[in-house]
Amino acid sequence: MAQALAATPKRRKLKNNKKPYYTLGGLFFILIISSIISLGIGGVAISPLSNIEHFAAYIGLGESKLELHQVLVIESIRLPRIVLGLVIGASLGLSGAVLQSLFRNPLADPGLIGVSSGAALAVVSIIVLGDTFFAAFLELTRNFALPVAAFTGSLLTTALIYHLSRRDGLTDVAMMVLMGIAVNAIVGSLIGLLTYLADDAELRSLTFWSMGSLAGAGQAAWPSVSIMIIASLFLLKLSSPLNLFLLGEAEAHHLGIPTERIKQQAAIAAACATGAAVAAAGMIGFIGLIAPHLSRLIGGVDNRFVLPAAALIGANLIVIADTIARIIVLPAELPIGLVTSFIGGPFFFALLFREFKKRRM
Amino acid sequence: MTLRAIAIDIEINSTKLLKGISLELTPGKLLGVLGPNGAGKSTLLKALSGDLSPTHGTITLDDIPLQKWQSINLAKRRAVMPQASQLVFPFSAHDVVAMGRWPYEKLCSPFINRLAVEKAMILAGIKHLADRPYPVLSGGEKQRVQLARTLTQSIGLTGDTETKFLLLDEPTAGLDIAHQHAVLAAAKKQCKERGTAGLAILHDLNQAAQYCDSIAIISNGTLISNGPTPEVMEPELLSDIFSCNISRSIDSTSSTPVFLSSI
Repeated sequence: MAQALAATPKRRKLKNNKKPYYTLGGLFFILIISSIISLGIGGVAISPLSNIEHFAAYIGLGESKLELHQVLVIESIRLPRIVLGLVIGASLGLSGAVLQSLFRNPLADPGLIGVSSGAALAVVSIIVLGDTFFAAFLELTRNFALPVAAFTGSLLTTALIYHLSRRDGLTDVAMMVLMGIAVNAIVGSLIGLLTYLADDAELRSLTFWSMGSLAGAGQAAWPSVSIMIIASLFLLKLSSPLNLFLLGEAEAHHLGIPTERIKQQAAIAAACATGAAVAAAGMIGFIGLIAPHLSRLIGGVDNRFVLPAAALIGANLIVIADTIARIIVLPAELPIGLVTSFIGGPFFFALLFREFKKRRM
Repeated sequence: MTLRAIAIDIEINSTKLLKGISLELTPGKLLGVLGPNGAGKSTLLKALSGDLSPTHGTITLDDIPLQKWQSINLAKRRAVMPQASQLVFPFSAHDVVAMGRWPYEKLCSPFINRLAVEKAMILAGIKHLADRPYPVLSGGEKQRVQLARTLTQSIGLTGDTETKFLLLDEPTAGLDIAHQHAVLAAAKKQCKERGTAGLAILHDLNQAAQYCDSIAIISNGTLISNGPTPEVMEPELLSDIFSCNISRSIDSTSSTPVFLSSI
């Protein structure tokens, strides 16, 4: 036993130091491959090779052999959709990883700070009460009504939860979790009430929104995409301070982290990133929870690895889930939220059991 | 160049936890803080580390009030060892210790940082735990990892001339007797060799007498006595403070004082 213990450190050390960086490269490579494959899959099938040829032609390498209708399909339908999916997946994965560190709770996800419930309440209000109470808002925002409502709703709810958990200029993160639960419960009941009032058509659009879809990709999603990219880049910068946060807040403060500022920045950036994601594609559950866990399972708990890896894995999961959602019930398509939960759940189970076994040995 | 509390009061929810305490840490010396449970020892440590601001009075570092220090600059001067850390994510012990280098991470080469981490781990006697995940360590091992993290923070950079301050909140709690001595010896060594000013909250009178250069006794939020160890640790005063019979005798072999207590 003692000998075995003494022998392991050396081997582990090598693994620990080198592995994560190769893994990030590997994840990025997988992401590119799955994006290219996803581009070719669907009602109009195009081989991955001709896809690569087509895009290589833009930088002067070779010639595109695609026909006009194929070009239309990949450039104006699938490409925007994949780009939107990549950005949303990265934002959700990253926000989840950041919030888990901030709350020092492996079960935290963006829903905890009210992003999803706030967005849902705003959207339900617009769909159900829009014509009667929010006519001016609808007039003003037109096609952007739902995204704008979702984004504002999620930010307002997060701000409310954040504000409720502050005393004497200090934010209590444990309080924030509990306040989040309380606020989510109240918001949930309001959503229920409005759903009860809704008529059949409203109910249908509501249900579809709450299951998420990337079908809205296109120019209308650009504002959301830019908010997500900016917020995500910002979140990535928080990786080192968040490592110290895991030790405890007082300890992070003793090590020179301006804890109040980090909490504020993380909460705002995560709310913006996920709020914009919900605005662009409705509710896509599970990614924010599962992507950080997958990163930790494959590369350890250091946030300098976990954050970028969670972004890559989140993006990957969304692209794969969207591909499945598009093709599984052709010519119709399934809401992506259903696919992420249906596939993600069992997959997560498998990984957890594997980890469980390892720990008992 | 010192960390000084000047007549500080601390009041939380209109309960006075500390009343008019003035105290100073001396470079190269380890100050032991003794007192019954609830006397305000941890509150004093929180005030000195900048976690709590005094209601009245000030705490100064280099004659500048603590509130005016940026947290990163403060971190380069004082390190705090907590009573317990609730890290649930499986970082390795080595990674936890390395977090102590955060204030200097961008100021020196990774090599210097690694060296400082190694040095602190050897000093705290946890070299063999380096690759074990922190959450599965025993309570005593966790304590020593936290000590190493604090030590590596107070090692600083090679050219540092400013005094570092090491604040230890019950560093020996939960440790077996050999490791209690190892931890205190490590803290003492750090103070002596690097001119670090140390403060440790302790409960064992014999260890306090053995390792501390000076002692501060706190009871009911007030500073009862403060000075060189042999002068402060009088059996009558200690008996009074801890409400039990404490006697002092001199050990014949080592000729050091030994405290015995009974109800």
